[in-house]
Amino acid sequence: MGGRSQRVGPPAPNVVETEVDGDVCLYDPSSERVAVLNGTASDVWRLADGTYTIAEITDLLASSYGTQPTSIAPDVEAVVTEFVEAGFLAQE
Amino acid sequence: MKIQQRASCGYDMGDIQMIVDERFRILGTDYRVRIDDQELGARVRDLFGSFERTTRAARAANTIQLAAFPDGTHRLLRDCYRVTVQGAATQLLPALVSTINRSAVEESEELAIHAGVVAIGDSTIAFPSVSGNGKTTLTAACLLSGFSYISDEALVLDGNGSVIPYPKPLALTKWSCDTLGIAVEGEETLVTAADLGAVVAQGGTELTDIVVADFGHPAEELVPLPKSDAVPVLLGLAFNHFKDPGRAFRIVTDVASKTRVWSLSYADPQGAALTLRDQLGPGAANSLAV
Repeated sequence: MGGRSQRVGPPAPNVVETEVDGDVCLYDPSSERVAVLNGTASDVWRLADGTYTIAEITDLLASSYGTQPTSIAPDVEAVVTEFVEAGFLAQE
Repeated sequence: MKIQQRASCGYDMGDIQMIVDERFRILGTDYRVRIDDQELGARVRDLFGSFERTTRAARAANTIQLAAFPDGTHRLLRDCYRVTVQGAATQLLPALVSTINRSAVEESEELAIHAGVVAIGDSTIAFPSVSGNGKTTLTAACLLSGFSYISDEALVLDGNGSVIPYPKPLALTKWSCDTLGIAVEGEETLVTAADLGAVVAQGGTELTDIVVADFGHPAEELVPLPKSDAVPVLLGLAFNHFKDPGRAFRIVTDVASKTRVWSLSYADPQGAALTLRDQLGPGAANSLAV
């Protein structure tokens, strides 16, 4: 991870995304990894298009959830790390 | 009829007379089965009786032969190459079924997922599972409880997500037979749906329920799961998704979106079959029928 100031995303080119009953499902055909995202992870994924940094995503979600950024920052960082490690996000 | 020995053939069939010559079309692939024993041939016709008979030629790799050899052994050959050897011909039947099954599923152009599949009323129910987790026993228990048969091996889905029946013979272990009260024939007992008093379901049905069955829990319970839980389960158990992963993901997510997904904990297969019938079958609170 490149820190909170690095932009997150965009999704890796091979990754396929669809919704099943409101849950975001990701699939990377090259690695055969599949993931079903929970609510917060889905929100992070939708913002991970290469536009925002982790800090900005944290602020946006905290505002949306009506909570303090510090209370969700560890979760957002963990989710982004998982996306990167799973190969779902493009690496620079 | 004599088998002509080919230069490339790995086995010399000598003067063995093959008096049974059957051809079946299974999941889009043509198979030829040649046997030197009339009674055994009749059994094979019975076991594969739910599949289309064909006159089309089968590839050499899909030609299966079962014969007695001069040394007293019985041998199962695929494309003239030995698959296995047994003292008694009937002991080769499970290997014959297994050989065709593995090939048919691997060669299928349709998405095939490791699962038992049964139908009752308006419900078509799949139990995706790895081998050795009770899938075939639960399928057989369902057939004994009034369900119709689709497969004990693979949920086969076409590009629209419709279920293609794959009613291969059920291969029951000794434990399965003892549990279900079925006469044991050997290490594996082959039975058809008809042997269990059930019929084979017609094709073109839509899957309605995915049941993630977990054998070994004393407290029997059928509880709903999020639909998305089915996606990693189905993809993880697919036999041939690698042929077109994107298509497989599309079909699986489409099917998961349209079906109900359940977790079934159970210890008694027959009790579990009755639970499924009572909770998902006709007249049940969860029945799809209007």
